[in-house]
Amino acid sequence: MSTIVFRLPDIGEGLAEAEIVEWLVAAGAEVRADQPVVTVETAKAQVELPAPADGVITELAHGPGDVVPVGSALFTFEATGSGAGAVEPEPAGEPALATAPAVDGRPVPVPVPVPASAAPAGAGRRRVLAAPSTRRLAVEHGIELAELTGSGPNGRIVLDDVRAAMAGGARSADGAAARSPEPVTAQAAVTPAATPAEPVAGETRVRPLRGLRRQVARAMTAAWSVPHITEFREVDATELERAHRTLRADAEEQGLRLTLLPLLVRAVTTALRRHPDFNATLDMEREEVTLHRRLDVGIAAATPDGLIVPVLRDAGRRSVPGLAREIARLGAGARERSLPLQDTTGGTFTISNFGSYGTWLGTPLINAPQVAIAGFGRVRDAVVPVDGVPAVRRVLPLAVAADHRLIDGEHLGAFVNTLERLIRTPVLLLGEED
Amino acid sequence: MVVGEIAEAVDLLVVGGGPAGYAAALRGAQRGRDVLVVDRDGEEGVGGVCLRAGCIPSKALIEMAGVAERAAGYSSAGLSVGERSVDLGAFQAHKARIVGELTGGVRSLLAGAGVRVLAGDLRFTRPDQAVVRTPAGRAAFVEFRDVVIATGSRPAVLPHLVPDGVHVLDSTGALDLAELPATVAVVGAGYIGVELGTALAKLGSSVTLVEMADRILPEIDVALTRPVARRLDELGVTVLTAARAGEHRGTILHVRCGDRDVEVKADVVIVAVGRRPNTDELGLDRLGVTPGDDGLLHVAPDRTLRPHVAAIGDVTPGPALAHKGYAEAPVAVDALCGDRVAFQPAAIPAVVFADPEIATVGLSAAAARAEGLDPVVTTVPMAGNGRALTLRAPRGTVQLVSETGTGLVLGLHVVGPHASELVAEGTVAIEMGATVEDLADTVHVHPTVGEQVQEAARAAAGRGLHSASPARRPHHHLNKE
Ligand SMILES: Cc1cc2nc3c(=O)[nH]c(=O)nc-3n(C[C@H](O)[C@H](O)[C@H](O)COP(=O)(O)OP(=O)(O)OC[C@H]3O[C@@H](n4cnc5c(N)ncnc54)[C@H](O)[C@@H]3O)c2cc1C
Repeated sequence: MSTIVFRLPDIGEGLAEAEIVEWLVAAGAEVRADQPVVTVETAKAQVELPAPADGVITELAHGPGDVVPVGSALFTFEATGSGAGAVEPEPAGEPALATAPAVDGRPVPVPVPVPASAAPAGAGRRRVLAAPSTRRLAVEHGIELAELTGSGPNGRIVLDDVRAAMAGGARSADGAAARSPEPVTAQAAVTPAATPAEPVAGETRVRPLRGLRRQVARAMTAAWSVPHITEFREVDATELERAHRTLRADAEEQGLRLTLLPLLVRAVTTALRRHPDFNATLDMEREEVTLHRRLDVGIAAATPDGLIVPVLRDAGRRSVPGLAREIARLGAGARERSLPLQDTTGGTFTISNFGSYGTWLGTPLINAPQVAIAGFGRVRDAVVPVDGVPAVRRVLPLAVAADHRLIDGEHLGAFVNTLERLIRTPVLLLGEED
Repeated sequence: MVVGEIAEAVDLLVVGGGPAGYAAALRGAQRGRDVLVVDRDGEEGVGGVCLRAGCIPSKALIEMAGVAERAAGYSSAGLSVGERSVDLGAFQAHKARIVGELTGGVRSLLAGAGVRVLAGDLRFTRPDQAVVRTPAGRAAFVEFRDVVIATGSRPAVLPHLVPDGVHVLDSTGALDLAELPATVAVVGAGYIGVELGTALAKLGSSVTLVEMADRILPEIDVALTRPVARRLDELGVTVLTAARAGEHRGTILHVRCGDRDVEVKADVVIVAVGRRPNTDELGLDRLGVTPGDDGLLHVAPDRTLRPHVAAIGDVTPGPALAHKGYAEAPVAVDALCGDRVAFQPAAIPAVVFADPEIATVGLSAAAARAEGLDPVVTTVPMAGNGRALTLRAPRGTVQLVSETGTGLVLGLHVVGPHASELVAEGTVAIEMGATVEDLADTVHVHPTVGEQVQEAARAAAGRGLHSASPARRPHHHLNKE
C-alpha cells in the first residue's frame, strides 16, 4: 500500500491550469488502473485523467468548477496490489511534477460523460430525468444534462437547473442544496459552494467567464501584449480561382469537397519555407526564439463557444486533397469540441480565414507565442488597373501581422510579396520542394 | 453526367414525401427556407407509405372488420343486424376517400407553405447535386444547399414468394384487395401480419399465420401477446410457429413446420416479413454518405450525417414508425438551419392494432433489469373496468413498470381496448420523469379504460383502491415529507 497524491499533470504544452468539469468517481471509490477519475477542461479540450493504478480514491481535493493550477493536488489515492508497482516516477527535469505519478500525456478524445448519478445508491444506470423542454434548452446551450445535478424530485433536472448552469457554468448542485435540506448526491458532497448563485439585477446579468470563452479571452489578452505590425494587400486571385475550379472538379469525382482554403494553406507553407523566421515562437522570459522545422499550421475556427484553433500537423507535407480532408476533420471536431489535445496544440503559424464568413478585411491577432499570422478575406470582383486600363478582376484581400519584436517591416513586406506572387501565379506551388 | 445540364438551385431539398419528408418540408417552410420535395409519385406520393398504403388504409380495414365482428356480438343484448356481407370493392372506394382527404389536406398545407413538389426518382450525382428522372423520362437537375433524406422503406421480399399482385401480395397489395379471398396465408406474424390477418379473419376469410419464430409478435413481451394469441384462436385463425414458408403452387402454400411439411390452403399469400430502408438506389456514395450493413443511415443526434445532409424516418435506426419520422423532422431541419438540437426522446411508443390492441412504451421489467435498475411490476386486469365491460372487451391488462425506491415510471404496457390511446399517458409520464404517485394522484375520467392506468399506479404506490394485489415493495420517496 502506498499513498499517492495525484497532481494535475501538464497535459499539454503551455497550459498552466485546468478547470475541474466533473468527478467520475466519488471519494472512497475503488478504481482500477486507467479508469477515468476526473474530467478537466483546459484551454484546448476536455480530457479525462485516469487512475494511475488499482486502488482507492481517498480524497478529492477540488469540486467541479474549480480552476486548478498545474502541479497542484487533484486527488489522493491509496494504491493496492501489484498495480502500484507499475507507477513510475515522473521523468526528471520537470520539477513541478516531481511527485506526480506518471500519466502518459495521451489525451483522451472528449469522453462520453459518465452521468453524475443523482440516483440513490444502489440504483443502476438510469436515463437523465428531465422533461423534453428542459432537454431542448440544454442542447441549445451545449449543456450536458448528465453533468448537472437536478434539484427536482428523484434528482430530476428542472428548467432552473439548466438556467443556472447557463448563467454560471455552474455544474454543481448549488440549487439543489439550497432547496433540499440534505445533500442528496455523492457529487453534491464533493462540491464546495464555489460558484455563487447567479446575481440578477433587473436586466443586468453578471456571470463568471468560464470554459472556452475564458480561454479565448486570455489568449486575446496575451495577443494584445504582442507589438503587432500588419500589412494589408489586395491580390489578384484570378489564376488561383481557376486552379481551384480545376482541382475542385477533380476532387468531386472522388467525393471530396474542396474549398479555396487548402490552396491558401499551401501558399502559406511555401512562403514559410522561404521565410523561416515567420515559422517561429518567441519566449521573452528566456529571451529565446525557436525556429520550427515542421510547418504546423493552425486554422482558426469559429464555434458557438468561441474560437478554437485546430492544428494542421505537418501541413507542409500534405497534398492539397490531404489538406482538404484534414481541414474537414478538424473543423467538424472543433465544432463538436471533440478534438483531442494533440490537434489543438503546438501550432507554429496561424491562418484566419475570415473570408468564409463574408468579411472583406480584418486585423488578425497573433496567436502568441507564435510570431505571425495570416488572415484572408473574401474574394470579390474589383476594378483594378491592368496595363493602365481598368479591368474587373477577382481580388483576394489579405492581412499578415507579425511580432515587431522579432520581425521588421521590411521582412514582413518580403513575406507578403512571396505570398502574393504564389497566389497570383499558383502554378509556382508546383515547383515546391518537400 | 449530362454535359451542359442546367441545375435548378434549391435551398432545402427533401427527398420523399412520406410523414417524415412532408413534416420536414413544412418545418423548413416555417423556418423561412425555400423547399422542394421530390417524391417518386409527385403530388400523389405525398403522405408516403403511411397515409397511402400503411397506417391509415390498414386502420380503415381493421376498423371495418372490428365493427362487423362487434355488431354480431350484440345479438345477446338484443341487437340484430342483417346478414353480414363484405364488399371490398366498396371498401376500396371508402378507403380512397379517407386517404384522399388526408393526402389532399397535406398537399394543401404544402402548397399554402409555398413548398413545391416535383415528381420523379432522385439520385445523387455530387455532394451538392442530384438528378431527378421524371415520370416522362426526362432528367431534371437540382443543386441544393441542404438536403433531408426521407425515402422511407419498402416491403422485404422472399425470393421464392415474389409478389405478383394476384396470388402473392405484399402489405400494399393486401390493402388493395377488391375481393375477399376465401383462404389467406399471412407469412410473418409481426405487427403488420397480425393486423392484416386479424382483420381478414373478422371479415370472413379463413386465415393461417406462418411465423418463423416460436410465437407471434416475437419482438413483444410474451405476457402481452397472450391475449392476442387467444383471440386469434377464437377467430379461427391457424397459427403456425417455428414455420418456414416455401413455395406457393396453385392454391397451396408449402410450409416447413418444425420437422414436418404442412400444406396450407391459400388463395392468396400475403408476405409481411419486414421492411427494407430505401437507401440502396439513391447514389448515396456520390453524396459521401454510406449506409450501415443494415441499410440504415446512422445519423448523429441532430439527425445529420454530415454538414448539409440529414436523414429521418424509416431510413434511420429506431422503430420504423410514422410517429418517429414526424418527431425527427423538425430536429433535422432545425439542425440544417444551424440550431443546436438533438432527437432524444426518453421513449418511443409502439402499437399493434391487433385484437385486443397492444401498446407499449419504455422499459419492460427485463429490459430495466438489464440496465441495472430494480423494477417493480404492477399488473391490473381490464376485467374489473366498467368501461371495458360496456365495450364488451374486458380482456387484457395494464402493466406498469416503475423503479423501486423512487417510484419513477419506467414503462407502460397495455393490452386491451384503446391501448393505442392509453399508452400516451405512459409516454408523457416517462418523458416528464413522473412517479407512480404522480399518476395515482392525477384525476382520471370515469368511466374510461384509462382508469386502469391510475389503478396500476395506485397499486404500485402501495395504495390500490380496487385491486387486491398491493405492490410488493412500496416506494419510499426521497423527498417525501
Ligand atoms: C401495412 C402497414 C401498416 C403500418 N402501420 C403503421 C402504424 O399503425 N403506425 C405507424 O406509426 N406506422 C405504421 N407503418 C409504418 C409507417 O408507414 C412508416 O414508418 C412511415 O410511412 C415511414 O415514413 P417515411 O416518411 O420515413 O417514409 P415513407 O412513408 O416510406 O415515404 C417515403 C417516400 O419516399 C419516396 N421515395 C423513395 N425513394 C425515392 C427516390 N429515390 N426518389 C424520390 N422519391 C422516393 C416514396 O415514393 C415515398 O413516398 C405501417 C406500415 C405498413 C406497411
